[in-house]
Amino acid sequence: MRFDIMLAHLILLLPVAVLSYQKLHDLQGGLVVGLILLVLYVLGLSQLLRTPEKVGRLTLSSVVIGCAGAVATYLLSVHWGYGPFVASGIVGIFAARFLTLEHSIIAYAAAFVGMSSALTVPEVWMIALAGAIIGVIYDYTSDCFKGIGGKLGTLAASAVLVVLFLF
Amino acid sequence: MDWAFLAFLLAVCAAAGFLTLYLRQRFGLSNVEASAWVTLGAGLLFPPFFAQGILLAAAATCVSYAGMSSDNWVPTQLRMLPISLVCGIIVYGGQALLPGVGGRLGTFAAFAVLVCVGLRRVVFIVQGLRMNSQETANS
Repeated sequence: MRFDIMLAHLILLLPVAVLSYQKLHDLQGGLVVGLILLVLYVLGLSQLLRTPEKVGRLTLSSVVIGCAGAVATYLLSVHWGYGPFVASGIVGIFAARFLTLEHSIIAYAAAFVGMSSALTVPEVWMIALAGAIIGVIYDYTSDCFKGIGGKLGTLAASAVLVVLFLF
Repeated sequence: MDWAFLAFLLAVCAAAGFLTLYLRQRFGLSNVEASAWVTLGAGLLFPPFFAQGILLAAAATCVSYAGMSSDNWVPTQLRMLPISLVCGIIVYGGQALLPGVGGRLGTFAAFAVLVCVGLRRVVFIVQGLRMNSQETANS
C-alpha cells in the first residue's frame, strides 16, 4: 500500500484507536462485548482495505466551508443554546438546501466538529481550526472508506483530537 | 443495567434507522439532508421530554449517520436494522468514550457499520464451511 493511502487510512482510524484505548482502560464491564465488536470491526475493515484507492486533492473552498460549518454549529449549539443535535441538524439542512452536494457533505462533517462540548473545546478559534482541518482531510481521504456511514464523524473526531493534542 | 431503558433505546435506534433510509429512498433526499432532519427531530423530541433524552437523541443521531451509508453497503431496511441496533449498543456502552469530542457519534456509527460488515463476513465464512462439509459428506 502506498504511503499517502496508508496515511489517509490512519487519519480515519485515529478516533477508533483512541476509543479502543479508553475502553481497554475502563474495566467496569462491557469489555467482552467491546472486544467482540472490535474483532468484527477489524474483519469489516480488512474487507474495506482491499478496495483500490487513491488520495484526493486539496481545495480552498473545502477549508472555508469546513471552517464556516464548524463555527456556525458551535455558535448555535453553545453560545445560542440550541444544543448540539438541533444545531447540527439546522446546519445540515441549510447546507443540503443551499450548497452543492460535495460542499454540503463537507459542511455537515464540519457541523460534527461544532457539536463538541464547550468543556472539551472551549475556544471558537479551536473549532474554526478543526473545521479547516476537516476541509483538508476530507479532500485527502475522499476515496477512503467510501460509502461507509459515519465516515464524516470519524473525520470530525480526528480533526478535534488533532486540535486537542496540539493545544 | 437498566434493561427496559436499553430496550426502549434500541427501539428508538431501529425507528431512526428506518426513518433515515425511508427519507432517502422514498423522498429522494440526499444523505446529508435525511440525516440532518432525523438529527433535528431527535434533538427537538427527546431532550425536553425524557429523563435520559440526551442519550436517546445521541443514539438516534448516531443511527442517522450510519444511515448515510451508500446503497452498496446498506441497500435495504433489513440490512439497516442490525446496524441500528449495534449503534444503540455502542452508544449505550460507550457513554464514557471520547466525551465532548465532536464526531464521536459518527465514529460510533462507522464502527457499527464495519462491525456489521465483519459480521456478514463471518456468516459467509460459516456458510461456506457448512456447504463444503455437506459436499464432502455427499461425495
